[in-house]
Amino acid sequence: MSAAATDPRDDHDLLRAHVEGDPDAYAELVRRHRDRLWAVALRTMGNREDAADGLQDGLVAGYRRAATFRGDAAVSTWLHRVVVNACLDRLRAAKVRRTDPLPDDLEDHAERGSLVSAAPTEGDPAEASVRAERRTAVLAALRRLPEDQRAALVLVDMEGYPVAEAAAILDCAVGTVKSRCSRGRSRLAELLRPLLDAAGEQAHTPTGNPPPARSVESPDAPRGPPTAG
Amino acid sequence: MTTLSTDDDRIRELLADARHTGPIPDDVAARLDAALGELAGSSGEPLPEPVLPTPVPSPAVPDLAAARRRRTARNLLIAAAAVVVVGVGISRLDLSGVSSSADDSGSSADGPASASDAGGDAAAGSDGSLRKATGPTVVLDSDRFGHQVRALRLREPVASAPASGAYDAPTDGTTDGPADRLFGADGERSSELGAARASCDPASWGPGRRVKARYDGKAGVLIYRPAQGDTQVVELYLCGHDDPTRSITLPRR
Repeated sequence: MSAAATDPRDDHDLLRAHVEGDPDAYAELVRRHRDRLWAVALRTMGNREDAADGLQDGLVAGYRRAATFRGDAAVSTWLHRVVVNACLDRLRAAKVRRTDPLPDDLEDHAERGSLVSAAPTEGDPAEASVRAERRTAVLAALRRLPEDQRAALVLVDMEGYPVAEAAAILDCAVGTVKSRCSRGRSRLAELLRPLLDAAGEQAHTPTGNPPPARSVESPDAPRGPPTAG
Repeated sequence: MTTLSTDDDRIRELLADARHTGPIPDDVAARLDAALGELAGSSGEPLPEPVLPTPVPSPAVPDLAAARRRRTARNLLIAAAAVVVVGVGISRLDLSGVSSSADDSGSSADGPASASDAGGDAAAGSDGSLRKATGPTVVLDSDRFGHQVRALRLREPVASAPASGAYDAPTDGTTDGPADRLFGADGERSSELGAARASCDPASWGPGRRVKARYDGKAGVLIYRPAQGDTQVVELYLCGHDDPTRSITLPRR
């Protein structure tokens, strides 16, 4: 992000400069936001290749449609909107031929070691494996949701956007986003029921092995060896 | 806390845990930079009007108004062609009836059989029913005259010549009178017919219902005299003759 540090212009200035013909402004703007845009595209599309295509489609669309930006929202929100719309368009277009490949970003994480929230379990391969399996199951279930619900959950529950901003990105009402999120979570709860149940049991199960039970003492005197005679 | 809310919270946690936190892969970033660089290199000027992203090849939007105009013009053209065809057909039918009579006239020396053949489909069959050209002129043969006249009376109404007056004397030079239809709308230019036309005056042939006729190829008028008692006389006058060429007495209907 050195470019962002060297370019003093804010997002609005960069977009305006791009519209006015600055050949480098849009690229700079994209560099500032592309990691988060990538995350949204990846989770919305469900696989790396489609995410790359959707991200490129969206950013190219943003490049061409920059003049339509009215300035009534954050530039990042607008960028998210064009990328999410491009991803949703791709999902709808590819619905009939889409398969459900396993999420392949886990390998990326493994290579980069970028599971920032995995700090407590770092160094525990067993726990890392369990967590990876859980993420795989969640992402697989996420891909089974309708596109609209999936996009809402990605923005709100995954990326942590406020509902109002997610509504601005998705170009719909706040209530619509809430409804989509609620229905999406309910559906995920059905799909992930075994995972939820296992987690519940684990929460009520004391950790570690129970202490060994004491041997029961016999009230009778131990029998001695048979006496001769 | 209910199970539902617990599930909801747990799902949120799972989703948050599945969040992608890594940076964009290098190859994806390079590809994106290349695409945007290509766009920047291709323009280099203030952007034109925005275009839709990921343009999908689609057929040009049809101009509905132009299509409607083309359809209307085509329909009008078809209607006009139909009118022309019908008009030409009708005139051909008229002419064919007359020309067959003219042919009959030209071949009258061959006898009635020849004239009957020349009549073609305008003539009656061998059952002796009325041979009537399309239009107001009936075609008669000398050998079946009686039979044809009887049939003609049964098949009323038939086209009649004026009850009085010279139906064949278009003195104003027009060619749309009954005599013209009788002699052919295109005008049969023979001197024989011209003379016949000049002398074909039904008024001098007495009262009765008149039917334009061509008898063995010759123009004339068939006159159904008023019935007298139980009989009715039918006479055939050929143009240029003052006396009836044929006469037949039929029982009164």
